[in-house]
Amino acid sequence: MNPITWFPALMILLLGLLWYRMPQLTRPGIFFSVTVDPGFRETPEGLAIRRTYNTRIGIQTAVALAVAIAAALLSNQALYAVAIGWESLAPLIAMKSAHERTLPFAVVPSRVLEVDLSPHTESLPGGMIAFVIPFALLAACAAILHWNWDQIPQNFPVHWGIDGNPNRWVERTPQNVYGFLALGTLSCLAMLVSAALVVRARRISVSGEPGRSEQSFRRLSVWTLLISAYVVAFSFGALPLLAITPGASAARLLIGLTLLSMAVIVALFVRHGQGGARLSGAQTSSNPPGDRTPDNCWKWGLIYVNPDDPALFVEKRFGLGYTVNFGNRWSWILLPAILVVPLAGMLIR
Amino acid sequence: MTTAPLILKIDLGGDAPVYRQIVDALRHALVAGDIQPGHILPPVRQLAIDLGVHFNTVAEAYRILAAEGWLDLRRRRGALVLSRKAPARPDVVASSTFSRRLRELVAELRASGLSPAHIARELRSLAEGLEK
Repeated sequence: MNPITWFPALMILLLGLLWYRMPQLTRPGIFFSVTVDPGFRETPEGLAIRRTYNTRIGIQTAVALAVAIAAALLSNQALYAVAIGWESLAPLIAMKSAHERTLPFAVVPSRVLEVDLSPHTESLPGGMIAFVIPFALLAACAAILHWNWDQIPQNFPVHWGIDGNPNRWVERTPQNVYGFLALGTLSCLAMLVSAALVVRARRISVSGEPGRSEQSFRRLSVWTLLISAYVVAFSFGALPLLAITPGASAARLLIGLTLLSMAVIVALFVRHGQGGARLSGAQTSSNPPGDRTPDNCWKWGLIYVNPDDPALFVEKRFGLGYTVNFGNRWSWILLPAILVVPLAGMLIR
Repeated sequence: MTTAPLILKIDLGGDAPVYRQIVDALRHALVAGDIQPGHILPPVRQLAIDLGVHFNTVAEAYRILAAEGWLDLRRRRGALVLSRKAPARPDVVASSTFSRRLRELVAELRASGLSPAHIARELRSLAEGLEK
């Protein structure tokens, strides 16, 4: 049996660990997306909520693992999808339940705000050059494909299985060949614009250790978006190029690169936590609890909708990095561009 | 240029509108010299995002300070703090308004339970600060 077929089981295990750690990755004053006293998570009530959540995550991960193992033994691709889908979505039910149990312990966030009037010194790493390179990369791929059009096979692969072998093909047409590059361009643009906006995201803590921790978290988020844009540019550019330089090893390299970059990014976020997550209650005691977003604007503790808040990006209360404010009309322009990659993956048949 | 972090404190639950609180806090910092000419205040958009208030709230506060001659508003690049000299001749209307508002404030504070001795002490300390 190909050892790579066990990869989804490993991925589920890692996802399970991530879900298990998730409540510890938020700011001390946020617990399951509810604004609480920074010491609440250590109280008997907080510990009880966390225990129930952990038990549910354990059971759900065990179920997903069992399905993934069955998929490996039966070599069934559909079961892989079921296992990964279950592990990605089912824990949200455990989260929602924990969120509802925490709501009665919510505290009213301070109405007194402090903002730093110093000019923002952060900027996009690499400046305009870093912004332009992904597009130059995609343009170069388009030029290579144009000059080698005849070498592209009549049907070329666009999707590969976890074993590195192609499992979906499309016809050689300008729409199919350059369409990928266009999708890549749109996706890169969305990621780089997001990175530029995250640089200017709201500064919640303005001084001391909380301020430094938040700044470091923001920098990590910006680098993540920048690296993601490069990976997307490289992957979307290389995808049609694989058609003229066929070989499973190249596809494996591409899959490996994508997975490796994702793993590194997740590991860094877990190590760092959300802005100020790694600080003790004492270090944050001078800061008012919360993250300057009202609890009632978080739907199920996951989706932020606040038309009165001018911010487009806000720190996630449960998860890694930033999320968009769906109450801001610009989010409805940016979001489809961000989702273009996963949507394209689903639509390719 | 100021080097220490310059913190603006706003009470969203306070009686005064947010734009007025921004104007008062900034004017206080400008008069006290905490913000020096040449300093660039954050752009309207940035300050509104940091505070979580509407852009117009911050824009209105900046407009008032610009009208008073404190700020030069620059599109997307923030507000430049200007060197502003006090008017050569004090405004008579402003002077009478000042006296009336001070009396009203003292009356309000006494009505809220503050002792006359406490109010007098605060006013004395403020006056001494002005004379230095």
